[in-house]
Amino acid sequence: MAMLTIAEALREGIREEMMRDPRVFCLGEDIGISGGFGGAFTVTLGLSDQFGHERILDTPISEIGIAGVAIGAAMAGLRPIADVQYGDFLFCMMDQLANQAAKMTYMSGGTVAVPMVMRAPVGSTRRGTQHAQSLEAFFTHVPGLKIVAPSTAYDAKGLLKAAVRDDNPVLIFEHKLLYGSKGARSEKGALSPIGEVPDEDYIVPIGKGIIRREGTDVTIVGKLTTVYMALAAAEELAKSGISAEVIDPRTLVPLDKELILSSVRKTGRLVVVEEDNKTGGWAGDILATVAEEAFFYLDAPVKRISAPDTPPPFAPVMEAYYLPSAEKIIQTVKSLF
Amino acid sequence: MAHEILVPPLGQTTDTVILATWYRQVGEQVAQGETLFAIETDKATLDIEAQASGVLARVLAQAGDTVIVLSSIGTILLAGEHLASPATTPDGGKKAVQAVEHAGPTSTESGAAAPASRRPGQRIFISPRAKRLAETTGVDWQTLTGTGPEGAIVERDIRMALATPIAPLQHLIEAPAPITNQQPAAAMAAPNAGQLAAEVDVSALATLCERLRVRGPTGIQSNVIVTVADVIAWIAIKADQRHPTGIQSNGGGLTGASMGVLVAGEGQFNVKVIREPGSKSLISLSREIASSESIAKDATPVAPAAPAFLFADLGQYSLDTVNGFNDVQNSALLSIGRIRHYRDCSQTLWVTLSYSRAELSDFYAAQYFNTVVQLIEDPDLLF
Amino acid sequence: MQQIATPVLLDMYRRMLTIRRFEERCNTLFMQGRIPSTLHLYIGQEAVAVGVCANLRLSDYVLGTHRPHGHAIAKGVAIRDIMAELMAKDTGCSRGKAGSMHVGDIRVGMPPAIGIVGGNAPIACGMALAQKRQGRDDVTVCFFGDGAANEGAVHEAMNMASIWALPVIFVCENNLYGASTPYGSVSKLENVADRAVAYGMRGMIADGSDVLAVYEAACDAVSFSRKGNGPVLLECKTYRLCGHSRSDPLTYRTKEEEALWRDKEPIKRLGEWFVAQGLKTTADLAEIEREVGLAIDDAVAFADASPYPLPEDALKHVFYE
Repeated sequence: MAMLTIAEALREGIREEMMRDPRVFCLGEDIGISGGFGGAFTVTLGLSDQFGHERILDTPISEIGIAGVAIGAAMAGLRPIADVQYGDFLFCMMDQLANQAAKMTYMSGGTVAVPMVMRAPVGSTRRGTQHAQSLEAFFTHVPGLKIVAPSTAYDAKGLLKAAVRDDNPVLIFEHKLLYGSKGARSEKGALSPIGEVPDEDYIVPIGKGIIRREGTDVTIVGKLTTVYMALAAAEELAKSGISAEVIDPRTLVPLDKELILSSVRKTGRLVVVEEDNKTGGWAGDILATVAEEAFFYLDAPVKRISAPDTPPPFAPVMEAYYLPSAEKIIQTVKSLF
Repeated sequence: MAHEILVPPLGQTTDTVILATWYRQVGEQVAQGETLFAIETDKATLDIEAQASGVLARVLAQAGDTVIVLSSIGTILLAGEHLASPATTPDGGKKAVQAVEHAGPTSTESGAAAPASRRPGQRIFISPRAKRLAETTGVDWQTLTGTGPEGAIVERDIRMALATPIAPLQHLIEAPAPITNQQPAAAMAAPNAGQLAAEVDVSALATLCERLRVRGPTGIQSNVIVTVADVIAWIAIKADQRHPTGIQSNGGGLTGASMGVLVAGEGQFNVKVIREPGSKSLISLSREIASSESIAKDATPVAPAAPAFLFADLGQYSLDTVNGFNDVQNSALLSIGRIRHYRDCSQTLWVTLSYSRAELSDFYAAQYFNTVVQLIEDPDLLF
Repeated sequence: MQQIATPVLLDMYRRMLTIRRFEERCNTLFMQGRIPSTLHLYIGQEAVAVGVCANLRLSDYVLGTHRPHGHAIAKGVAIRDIMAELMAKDTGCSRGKAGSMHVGDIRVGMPPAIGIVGGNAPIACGMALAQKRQGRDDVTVCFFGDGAANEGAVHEAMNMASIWALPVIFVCENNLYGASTPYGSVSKLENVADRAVAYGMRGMIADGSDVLAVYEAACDAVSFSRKGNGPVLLECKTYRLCGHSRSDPLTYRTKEEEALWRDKEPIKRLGEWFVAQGLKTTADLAEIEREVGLAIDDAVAFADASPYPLPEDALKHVFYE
């Protein structure tokens, strides 16, 4: 059992999977260059020393190519772990992910598997509009992709290993503020959720959410950083006599719907918190699901706390205004009583 | 006493009918037996006769409204009576509103004018969760004030309503009984009081009542509706007859004496006296409980001349059981709670026997109570 | 020409004819409303798919385009399965889930064809990377059109194939028009193959209406890549004798141009060559024609007799199980 950051936990997960299965390899920009970064956030740092440059494959800056190579390699029997430096670059490879990876199994009548992993850092971190978006909802809308979003070191390693072993394309959204990256790649305002990570082999099954804090009066659903905001809010709300249950779905597709529904059936109130902007978003979809399937258990309107419909602003004062926070959660929850 | 005009339960497949027309206007004289209004079911339009003579004092539903069967849609005042203000008739005054409000969108679909009782902008908001709870527990949420977001009625308002005894019973019920499946311990307010309680299956009894309602006791259509509470009141008498020395320590049982039925009305709590209950058939007992006669006018809970044995249907006040019994003037109170519906279609209610040890020994109380429970759960034993 | 074995030549003739007659039958079925979607027919380009695929093994991969029937037949996908797919039957090669633009059969080395122009090129690199990593001396062929030549995905893919020396043969079927847009108006270079030099890879040009020329060029390219020398860009100059899709009125090109290409269309050309060489008589060719017709009748009968998928089968195969 070691105390690891998420970046370290992901690295250990990749290392173990590469040792376990020779089909597994990594590809991406700046991931294995000697003396380089080990990826934008140090996740693959040092792995090329152990596995060589064939298995930690540095690519040109060609996002379409990275995705396509991962897809083709997966179709032909390898287990690629690809990454982009910033999730925003997923838009460059949208055709490959949405038209090719997601639909290949369907187009083949179920005969072709695409067991690939694509890692993408998201989240607003003072980088302005093109390096700070939260893109989860773009991809949760695409049938055929599995999507996970680990918020702890334990989950990061366990979900990565589960993703590598899954026979479908799995997108891993990682939050830049949660990596706990050190040195030059460390982030201002990072949460650094260092956690215990077992040394032995384990996976966190895709499709299973978790209750981070039990409560009886309101269900707060968050992912990535907003889980921590929700937990801070719950702590504060407890002082006002409001018992909040905090749920971290961990997997966005396929969603652990029953976990959320059963919690709402208990509490009668739902608040979903996300960093993404509101319209057409992930939170709205969860609200809709609950309104459809647990309406008669609701004691108050379902609420979402999302960013406004603007690009992520750069100036820290505007960014703070744009992002959700524990205070916004507390305010919203209190309005439901 | 003012006569409430009830919607007859004519449609067997529906709980609502449409009020087609009133044949009398408010203020007009009405004679018992003459046609008063018409209702429309999914099959036919039927004229309904007045059940009492007097003045049509008010109507609570208009032509075209969808109304719930057995709800009150108006009042006939007998000679010398006055219409009580809503403030003093929290129960009767609200019923028609309930009937109309419950009809919801259907009344709009029927193209009728908005019911008189619903004012624009006065829609009551209730959360889906609260509404669901209200409907399963029988709480009349239309009368509640919401404490939730934007004044909506939320779950806690319903729970509050369930826990608060209505004013007239306050003196009798010391504290709200917890709704629990556990057997309540003998909770006593007075040291010389005893209490026995059990959650009893009334599925068979409910079916029996349904049969009586459909076919009538003799197989002919009857306009008497026998409720579960009526049958249990009758069982209270029959059980006593099987233990003649049981309920009344001075001998003779209930058959030769009288029985009080607790009713709330006109802003206070009353005891309706049933004379010689042991000689009554189920139908006549039922009719007597439903009628407006025989009410002890005196306001005190139990008049000096009141009967020693009381029966109370707490279910109609959204209560399950009483917690304690301190009325030394009475020997015993048999009370029943709300009917609860379970997923497996079974129905239960709490039966509580509260008694004074000075009047009744624990042994006889237990024997009597067990007989009551047995007869409720297996009503075939009655016949 | 003499070094190509006669059975290979005959097989190529038979395959080209099969593609031609298959596409003609598709057109008829489409007009009869029995194929419920548009079609991008391969008529006129048969020599490219057949000449290239005659050099491939089962374990080699072919990635098709939105005009994939020819690629599929040339790589060995059963015409029964293709026809059933076009007629939206449960026995189709994609169980009725994909239709004309995505025919393929991974069992014979052709995954579903990629309907997005240029979208198959990076995937071809990935498959070739896997072949290389697995120590196979197999190759991946990526067909693409002159239109796709200007897609960013193709550039990224060619560059990656080149730097990693991947066994990919990029086969450009330059049929002169991207839908209705003439190639000359979207590229300053006369040949797509000229771009190979920019990626540091080998470029070749072949007469795409001459199956023997395509075969020889592909033979060279495939063996080059098999030996681990990296990718090749092979451009085949060809012409589609039909419209881009079934709704194409063909008003953007001249009748003279069409007549010119019709004169040198590949099937007639190979047939005449057979007779001239004394390898086959006209009667022999008529017999092949008859057999091909029977095979296509059989495919249509198979598709006709096959059941439609259940409506709720739409829910299956979103994920691989």
